[in-house]
Amino acid sequence: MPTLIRAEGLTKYYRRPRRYEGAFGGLRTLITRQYDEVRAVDGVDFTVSDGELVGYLGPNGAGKSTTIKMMTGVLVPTGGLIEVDGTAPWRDREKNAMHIGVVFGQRSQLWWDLPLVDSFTLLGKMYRMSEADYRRRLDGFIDLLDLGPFLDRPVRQLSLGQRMRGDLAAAMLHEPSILYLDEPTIGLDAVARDRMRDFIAEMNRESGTTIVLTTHDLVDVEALCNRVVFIDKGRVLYDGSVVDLKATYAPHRTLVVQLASGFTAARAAELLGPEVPGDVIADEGPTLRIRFEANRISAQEIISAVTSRCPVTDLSLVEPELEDVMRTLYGNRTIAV
Amino acid sequence: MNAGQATCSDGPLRNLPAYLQIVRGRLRIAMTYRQNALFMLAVVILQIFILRKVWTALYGEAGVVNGVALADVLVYLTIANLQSWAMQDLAVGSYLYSLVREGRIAFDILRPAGFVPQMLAHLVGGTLSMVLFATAALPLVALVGTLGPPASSAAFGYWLLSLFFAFGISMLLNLIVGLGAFWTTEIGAFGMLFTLVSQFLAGALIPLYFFPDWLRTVAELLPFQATTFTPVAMYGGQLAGSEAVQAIGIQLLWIVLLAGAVRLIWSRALHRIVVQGG
Repeated sequence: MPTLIRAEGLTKYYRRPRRYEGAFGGLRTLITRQYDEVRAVDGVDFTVSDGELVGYLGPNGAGKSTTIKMMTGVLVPTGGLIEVDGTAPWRDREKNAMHIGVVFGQRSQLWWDLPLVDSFTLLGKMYRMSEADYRRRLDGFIDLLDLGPFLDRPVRQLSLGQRMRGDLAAAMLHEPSILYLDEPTIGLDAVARDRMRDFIAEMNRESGTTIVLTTHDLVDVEALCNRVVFIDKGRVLYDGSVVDLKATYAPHRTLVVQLASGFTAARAAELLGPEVPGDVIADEGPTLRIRFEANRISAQEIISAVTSRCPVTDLSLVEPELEDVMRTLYGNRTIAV
Repeated sequence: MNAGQATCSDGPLRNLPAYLQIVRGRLRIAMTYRQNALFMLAVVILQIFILRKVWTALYGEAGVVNGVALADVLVYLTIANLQSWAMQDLAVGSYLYSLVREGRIAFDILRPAGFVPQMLAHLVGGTLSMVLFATAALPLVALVGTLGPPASSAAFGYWLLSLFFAFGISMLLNLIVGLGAFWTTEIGAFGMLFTLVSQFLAGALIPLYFFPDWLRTVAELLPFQATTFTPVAMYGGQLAGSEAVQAIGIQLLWIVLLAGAVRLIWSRALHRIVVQGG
């Protein structure tokens, strides 16, 4: 598939006025024009192909939003290359704008004081849609996102979930080929989240919309993304599939063993001894956990070792969560002061 | 409503339907918040009433001061205050500030239409709604203040033309104040100061012909007088003939200069845009 977005050595430095502490600190801050340089994005490389759904992940302040703003054309990079569909987005914003859609979860593009439908009318004219196209698309989104019940209500009276659905429709009304979603599920309840995920997956699958998604909700990532780009402190730490990410950063699986009554976990641990590779964690009572590296020993071997020595009533195997991966990745950070 | 009309044309006016839609939206917002607008209007009417009392007392027994009769001053003050109220639409300025402060400006930059024309459309809509409110209030204003006919039919024509340009100048001034959002994050105190100084220098509280010479020179070097004094003095006939033509020329000059300033400020603002937060 052809490359749609290309970033090479992409860099963004911000300059912040240096602040002084203590007496007259505020005055000094005002007078001395000294700046601290903040490296929000520091040499990022990645590409996104046409039709992909990529998760762009990282802790708070990692540089995700800054990258998105450079991809959309809001921010001009300090250095490096950013190309969307062959052109630099910031150089020709208005042309770029015609084929991108943007949702910033913490902000709304809807007209606060007016009925929701008024925002759509404006967008219809802004993107120069024909009346027929506009009607057809709006009707489509009214169905898909169930906007009907609050279409005529002022945006300020909508619930967060309703507003987000409105914002999604607003971002997609002109049928963009690329959709940037910056934390689209933030603050939503479980039902609204599911609905949002279904919609995103459908847009990607049915309309072939290329989607770049940032989120802190790892369920979003597991449900939606085949590929993730993980950044921290402005640099790419990982770029690849979710499966490989887990295999690399969370190779451990855990076998949970329920022992027959009267048999304590401590005793079982004693019986198993050092023969079983992996960490044996003996809880109080009849539950035993064995954490092992999936690429060094198979689950089969461990299970037969356990069942041959102890009376077992139940077994379950716990796969690593993406959250564990994140913890490992976050834990490796050198803490910046 | 306008089926088949708003399709893709590629001329320079291709975004006009969008801008008109913004104007329409602004008018609807003004209707939503009409109670607030009516309250503000009440403040202006009170101000007109107070000015009438003050100036009547100042004139006392004198019928004519500096060649101007009391009745003419009262008509001047009534029209000038109503007009300058309609021009001081700070709603759009504070809208721009909220866009920048909350980082929502990204959305407006990411539209396939220019940012400055979008903001001008907001200003046109905002000002239009103020004009509608002011017009609706005319009967009450006539009761509280002093309204009179224009000095002549020519004076009326000059006034209309000059008023049109006056709105242009004040919209550009409001836009410049709004664009200040890119350098400071609060409009509050500065907005109030701007309103007060511009009202005074525009001649809304004291007609320019009563200013001491040095202050009049200062006022004439600034654009504010062209928003209020110029048209209202034409209405009353104090500014007529070749002087009136010259004053309209000065208004046009201000429009060109301020439009150039907006261009310059916007290109610098865009350059330094750092969307706040995130």
